[in-house]
Amino acid sequence: MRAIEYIKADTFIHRLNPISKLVYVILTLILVFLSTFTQDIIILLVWLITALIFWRIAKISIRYFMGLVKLLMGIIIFIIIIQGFMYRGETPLFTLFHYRIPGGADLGVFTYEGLMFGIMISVRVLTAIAVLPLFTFTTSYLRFMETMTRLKVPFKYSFVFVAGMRSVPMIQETWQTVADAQKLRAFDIDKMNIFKKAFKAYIPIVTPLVLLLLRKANDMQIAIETRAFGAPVKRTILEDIHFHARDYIFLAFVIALFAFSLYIKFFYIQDIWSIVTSLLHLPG
Amino acid sequence: MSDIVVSVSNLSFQYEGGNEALKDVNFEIKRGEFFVVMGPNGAGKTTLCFILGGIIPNMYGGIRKGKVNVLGFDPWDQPIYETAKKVGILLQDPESQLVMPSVFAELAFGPANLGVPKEEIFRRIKEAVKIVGLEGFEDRHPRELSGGQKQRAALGAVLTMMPELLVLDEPTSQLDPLGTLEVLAAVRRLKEMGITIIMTTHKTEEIAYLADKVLILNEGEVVAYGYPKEVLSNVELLENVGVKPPAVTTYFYELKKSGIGNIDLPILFEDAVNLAKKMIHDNLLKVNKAEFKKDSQSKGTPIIEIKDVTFTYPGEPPVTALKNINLTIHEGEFIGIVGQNGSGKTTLVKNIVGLLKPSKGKILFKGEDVSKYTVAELSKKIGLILQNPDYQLFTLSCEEEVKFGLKNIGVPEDEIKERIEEALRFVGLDHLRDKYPFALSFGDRRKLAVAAIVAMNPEVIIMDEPTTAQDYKGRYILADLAKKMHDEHGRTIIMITHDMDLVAKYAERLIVMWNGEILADGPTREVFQMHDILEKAFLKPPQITRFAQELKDEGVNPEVLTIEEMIKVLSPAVKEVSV
Repeated sequence: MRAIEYIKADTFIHRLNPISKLVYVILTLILVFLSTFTQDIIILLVWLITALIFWRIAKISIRYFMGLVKLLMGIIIFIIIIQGFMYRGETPLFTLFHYRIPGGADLGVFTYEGLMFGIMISVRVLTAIAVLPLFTFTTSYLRFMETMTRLKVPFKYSFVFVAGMRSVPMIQETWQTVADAQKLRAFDIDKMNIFKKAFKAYIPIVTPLVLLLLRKANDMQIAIETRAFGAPVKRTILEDIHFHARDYIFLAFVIALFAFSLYIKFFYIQDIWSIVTSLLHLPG
Repeated sequence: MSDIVVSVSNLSFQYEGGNEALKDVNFEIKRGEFFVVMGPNGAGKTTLCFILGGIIPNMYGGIRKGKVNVLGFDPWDQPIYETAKKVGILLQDPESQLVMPSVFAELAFGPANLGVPKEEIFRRIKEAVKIVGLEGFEDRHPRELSGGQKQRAALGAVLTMMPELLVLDEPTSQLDPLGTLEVLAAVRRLKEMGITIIMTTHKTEEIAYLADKVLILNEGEVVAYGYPKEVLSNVELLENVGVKPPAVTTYFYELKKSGIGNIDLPILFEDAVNLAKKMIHDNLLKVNKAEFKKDSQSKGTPIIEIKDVTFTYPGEPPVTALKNINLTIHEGEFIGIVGQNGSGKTTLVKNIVGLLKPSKGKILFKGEDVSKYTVAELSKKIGLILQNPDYQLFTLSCEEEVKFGLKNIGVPEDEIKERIEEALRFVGLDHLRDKYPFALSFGDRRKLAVAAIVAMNPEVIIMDEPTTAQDYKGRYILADLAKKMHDEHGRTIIMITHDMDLVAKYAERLIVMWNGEILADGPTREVFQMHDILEKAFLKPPQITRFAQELKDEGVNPEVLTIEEMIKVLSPAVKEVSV
C-alpha cells in the first residue's frame, strides 16, 4: 500500500506552506496527547471532523480513511473490550463473572464508563492518524526537503530521509525476487512454522538481500557524488515556500481552534459533557 | 580553450590490494568526439570511466601511474563535486541512479547541489527533457517509468549539470531493445549537439554509426585504437579479445579469407548491402539456391499446456499482463521467447513455475493441473534459472549451494553427494567446489546457479535472459549448457531473451510476445520473416538475417540465420567455399 505518498493535485491544502501544515499536525498531536479524560472526546471529535473536512478540501478520498479504520478495527475492538472490563466504572452493562482486583476494577464486569473511555482512546488514535496524510499526501518530497532546509535542518539529513523512503519499494521488490529465487529451489518460507522462520529460515533470503542492497547503495553513492552531492555551496531552493495570505488564514483558524479547545477543556468540559449526556439520555 | 578534452598518457592503475586494472594506457579525445571503449568483462573499461570521473580515488583507492588531463585538470587531485561540474557520468543500472521521487526533482538534484540559480535550473531541465525525450514526464515517479525511460531520466539528470564531457558506462546493457533504441537516440542527439562523449559498450553494430574513435581494451591494455573503420574491421583481433565484430563485417571477412581478393571490409549495414549488390553485379559473388531444412515437424508429446490463461496483477489500476494465452510446449523442444520488458514473458514463466497463479485458465504439466502443486513440488519438474545469480547464492561453498535445493526436496543423503558431483561437473565447476560463491567471477556464479537447478533434475528448464551482463566470449556459456541438457539429456528448454543472435543460433521455435499476447509462434526461421509482427513488437532479426533480406531481390534466400548460412547462399563466384 502506498500509505503515505504524495498525490499530485492543486488544492488549497496542497498550496499551503509545508510549515503551516506541520504546525497544524503538531497542534493536533499536542491536543491528542493532552486529551486523557472521557469527556475530552467532544474536543477530539471536533478535531477529527475538522481533519476530515480538510481531507475533502485536499481531495483525498474518504475511502482511504475508511480503509484505515478497517485496518485499525481489530485494535479498536481490543482497546474497547480491555477498557470495558478494566476501567473502574460504576454502571455495569453486562457481567461475565466477578473478580475484583484489590483496589481496582471488577474484571468480570463490562462497564459503561469503560466502554466510553475505550471509545475515547480509539478516537484519539483515529484523530492522530487522520492528520498525518494531510501532510504527507499533499506535500511532495521536494517541498518537504526544501522546507527542512529552510528550517536549517542540514540537507544531508532530509536527503537520507527522502532517499530512504524512495528505497522502500526497491527493498520490497528485491526481497520478493530473492524469496522467489529460493522458492524455485524448493525453499518455501510461507510453509514454515514461526520458530523455524525466526531462527534459520530467513538466512537464505537475508544473506543475498543484504549483499545486493550494499551493492545498490554503492551505485547510489556514485550517482549522487558525481552530481556534486555535498558540495560546499549553498544549495538552491527550488520551491516557493514563502508564507502567503492562505497560510495566515489557515494558521489563524487552526491556532484559534486550538486555543478555544484548550479553554473549553480546562474550564467548561464538564458542563458541556453533562448537556451532551442528558441530551442523548446517557447515564451521567 | 584547448581542442583536446581528455589526454591520458602511460596510465596504469592497481586497485588497493587487488589486480592491475589498467596497464600503460594512452589516448586522446578531441572536443566533440564520440569516443567508444570496448573490451571483454574485466578489461578495465569501468576503471577507466571511474578515473575520468574522479570516483577513483575518491571512493575506491589504489595506485595510479601516468598522467591524466581532463579539461585542464586531473580528477585525481580534487573532490568529486569539482570534477562533477565538468564531467557527467551515467552508469549501467538505471534503478540505483535515480534517488529522487520525481523526474523533475531528479533533474534538479545536481545543479541545486552546486547552487545554480533557480531560473537557470528550470531552463536546463526544460532543455534536458527535450534532449532525452521525456517531455511531459517531469512529475512521474521513477516507479512509473520503463527501464529505457529511467535510464534517460538518469541521463537527463547528468545533462542538467552541463558537463563538457559525458562518460557513459555501458548505458544500454541492462535495457530491452526498445529501451536501447531510446537511449541511443538521445545519445545521438547529444553527439549532434557537439558534446564530447566517451562510452563503453558491447554493442558493435549500433555503435559503428556513432563512433569517431574506438579503443579496444583487453586485460587493462590497449590492443587497438583508431577510427572505427580500421578497428571494427579487424575481425581477427576483435574475436581474439572477445569483442563482437558487426555480423556483416565478419561475413565479408570470411569471404576475404577464402580468397575473393582485396575488399575493403564494411562496418555499416548499408555499406555492406551496397557492396554485396555491387559484387553480385560484377559476378564476384554467386547466389546459391540453397534451401534450409525445415526443423523437424514431428513434435513430441505435450509437456506443458497453457489453456486460456489470463493474469492480472492486482493494484490501482490492475494490470493485465497476460491476455488469454494458449500455448502447447512439447517434450524435447528448444524454444525462445522474445519481446520487450512488460510484454508478459516473465509473467508467463512465473505462472508456469507456480510463483503466480493464473487469474483465469489453467496450466497443465503432463496433463495435470499445476495449481495442485506447490512451487517446491513443481521445482522438481520445471526448473527456472533467473537472470541474476546474486539473488539466490548465500552459502559458503559451491557444494553447499547445490545441496540446498536437494535437501529441500528431500533427496536421500547418499544420493545428494552424487548429484552435487554430477551437477558441478556438468557446468564445469567441479574444481571450485569448496570456493566461496561470491568470490567467483560473474560467469562462474551464473554457472553455479545453473548447477543448483540442474541438480534438482527438472524435465523442463527455463532460462531467463542467459546473456545479460555477459561479454561476447561469455555470452553463450549458459546457452551451451542448455543445449547440452537438450541434446544429451533430452530436456525441454525455454529461453527468454532480448538477444536475437542467441535465438537464431539455438532456438528451433520462436514465440514473440507483445502487450500480454502472443503475436507469433513458429519455427525461428519463419518468424524472423514476419516483418510486420516484429516491427509491431519493436524487434529486429539478427543483422545477418536482415542482410539476406535486403538482398532478396538479388535472389538470395532471406531465411538465413547465421553467418555460415549466409556464406552458403552468397558465396564467391570464383572459388567454391567449403563450409
